[in-house]
Amino acid sequence: MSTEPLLDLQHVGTVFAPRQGRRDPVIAVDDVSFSMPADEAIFLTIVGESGSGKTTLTRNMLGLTKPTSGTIRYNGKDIYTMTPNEWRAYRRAVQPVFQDPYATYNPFYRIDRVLQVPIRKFKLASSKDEARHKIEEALRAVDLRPGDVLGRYPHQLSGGERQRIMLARIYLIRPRVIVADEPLSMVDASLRTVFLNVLLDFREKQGISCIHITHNLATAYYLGGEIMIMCKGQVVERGNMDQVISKPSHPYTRLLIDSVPSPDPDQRWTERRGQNAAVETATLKTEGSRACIFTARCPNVMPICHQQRPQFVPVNPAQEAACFLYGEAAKQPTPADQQAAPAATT
Amino acid sequence: MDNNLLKIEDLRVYFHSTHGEYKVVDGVNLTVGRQEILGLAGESGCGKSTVVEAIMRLIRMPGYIKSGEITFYPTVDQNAPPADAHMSGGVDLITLDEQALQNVRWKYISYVPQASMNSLNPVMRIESQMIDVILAHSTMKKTEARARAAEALALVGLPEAVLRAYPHELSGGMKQRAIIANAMTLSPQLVICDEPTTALDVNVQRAVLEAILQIKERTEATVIFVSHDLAVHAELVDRLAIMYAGKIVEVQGVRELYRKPLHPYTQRLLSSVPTLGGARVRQEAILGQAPDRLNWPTGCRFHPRCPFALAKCKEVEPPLMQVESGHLVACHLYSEGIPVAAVQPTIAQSLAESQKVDHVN
Repeated sequence: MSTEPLLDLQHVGTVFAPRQGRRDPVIAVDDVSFSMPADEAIFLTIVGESGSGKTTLTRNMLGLTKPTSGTIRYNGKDIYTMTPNEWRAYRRAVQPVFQDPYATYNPFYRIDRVLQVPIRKFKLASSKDEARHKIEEALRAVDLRPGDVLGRYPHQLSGGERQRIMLARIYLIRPRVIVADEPLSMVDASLRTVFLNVLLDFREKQGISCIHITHNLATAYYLGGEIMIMCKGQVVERGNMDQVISKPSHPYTRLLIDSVPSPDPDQRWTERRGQNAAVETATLKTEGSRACIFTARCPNVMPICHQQRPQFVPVNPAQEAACFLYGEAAKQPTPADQQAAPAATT
Repeated sequence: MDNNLLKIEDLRVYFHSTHGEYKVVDGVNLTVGRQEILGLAGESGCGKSTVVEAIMRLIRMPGYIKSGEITFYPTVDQNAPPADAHMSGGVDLITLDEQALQNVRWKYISYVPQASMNSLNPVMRIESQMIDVILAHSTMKKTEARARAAEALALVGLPEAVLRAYPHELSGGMKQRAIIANAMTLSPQLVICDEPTTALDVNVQRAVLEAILQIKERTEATVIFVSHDLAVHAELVDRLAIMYAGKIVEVQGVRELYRKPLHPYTQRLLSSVPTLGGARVRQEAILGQAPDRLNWPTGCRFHPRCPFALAKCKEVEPPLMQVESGHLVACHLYSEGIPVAAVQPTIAQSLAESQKVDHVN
């Protein structure tokens, strides 16, 4: 890496201590490393099923939950040892959009306040007129009519409108990175497009990067960029969106992609393939950090998978997977490997 | 007896409020065939859940059924008790009293409400919750009921061990499937599932959908499946009804509908479904605001957002009519005696133009 990354995560892990009556600690995030470049605006989508640690990782990045191991650096500084001034700058540069638009607003305040507070805090406007002007501009940028939303209370707005108010706030603040945790899970299908288009505009016109956390592969694909697949706290595959979606290499990624409902009634699962994938987790017990995390459900499981944790190996220049099907261990072809090969090309 | 299991005619469900009356369901006409999976789609607030709540007669104040008929034509056993026998020629669910409803619910029509997997009682085992339901709606003995519960679980692909489990021991998908199994315990002729896969992961969602397919394959039940997700409908349903602003705007077999949607709203809805793979094209959302339920737009309710609105659309409400065999649509584009084939290319062309903005450089 030539230039210093904007946001850099190294071996981040978060372990929650066992609760009373529970024997094992919960490993929510397990050795996750990635970085966001400083010189270009990119989309990074983190995909995984519930319980894969996506939200904990977001909270780590936002400074809401301190990771138990590893470091998160912004411009080279660890965000958990920043001075108050650096911290304020970081909080401005990295802006969240949370999952539940019904829980993020204080019901007693009008919508206006959400937009006025950052103007006051970060001294974005010198007069009331300028502030109002900026607020209206921000609302228009997210496809809302100022007259429709200003002066209203949160309960008078739909989920899609509330999420877009969050984006309007972000437009005012002009951060470097948006961290959006399942921003669309409570938004209607027709408004999803509006929201995603705003993110695309922000990247193109404002140069704002976005870390987008979701379990919906289709919206991830719509945005493009980079993708990371998480399973039980670990990243199992990462790379270019188009590569990973068209040629998934890790068995877990393949399972995920295969389970996405297709909007074509002539391509139903029953007709696509008679493959009986282990679609659901039987148990959520961790199997000790020595094994591959996916052994219980993997159709291609090999003896080595129970003994070692796989490291990332490149599958092709734009894609890597943490799986023994690839790299050194795959040198001796196994029956499982041969089965996997045709599946990987479909 | 014709081949319909349920026939909804001009159903209106309104809600009182201090601002006026919310006409949430405002003139719905729909038929449900025997042993089909009928999908009901539309954006939130279009009234799809209220329609199925009306079928179950679960509308409570401030909501009320203003008018309409919901006729249910069950297949009734010849030696059925008199309470059941009188339904053989069809029965209007709206006029039934509580006692008669008790007899219909679960035995003939069962219901999986939205987010119901979170309503399992956390301190009761799955078996007690299932047996309770069976005992409340049938004359079965407890041992019989338990066996029936196990059969129902097997139907959705869950092992018998689930009977002894508490809800917290099950994953989200297993809970949802247990709820569906619960709805199947008395072999109902109609099962209504309201958004059973919303907020579930893709692979869990798939397990739930496959459980519903099993029900269709292995029993004689008819399913009404409510979801806003058109990709899910494509995987599951036989026929799909599209709702907009309290009305049904289009009904057609799902394959034909996806190939050739006629209503401009359906066309927009289908073109905004994100797909995996293929060209990355910037999609345009449906323009404008969702309509106000207190004052629906005059004429066609979609006209303020419709790219093809005619002058007539602002004044005259289009009726739901059959334009081709089995294809119902409520749109003036098709009611002026113009053959569908003649209208289709112009619509397709102007839609294609509005979408040709590639955002990938």
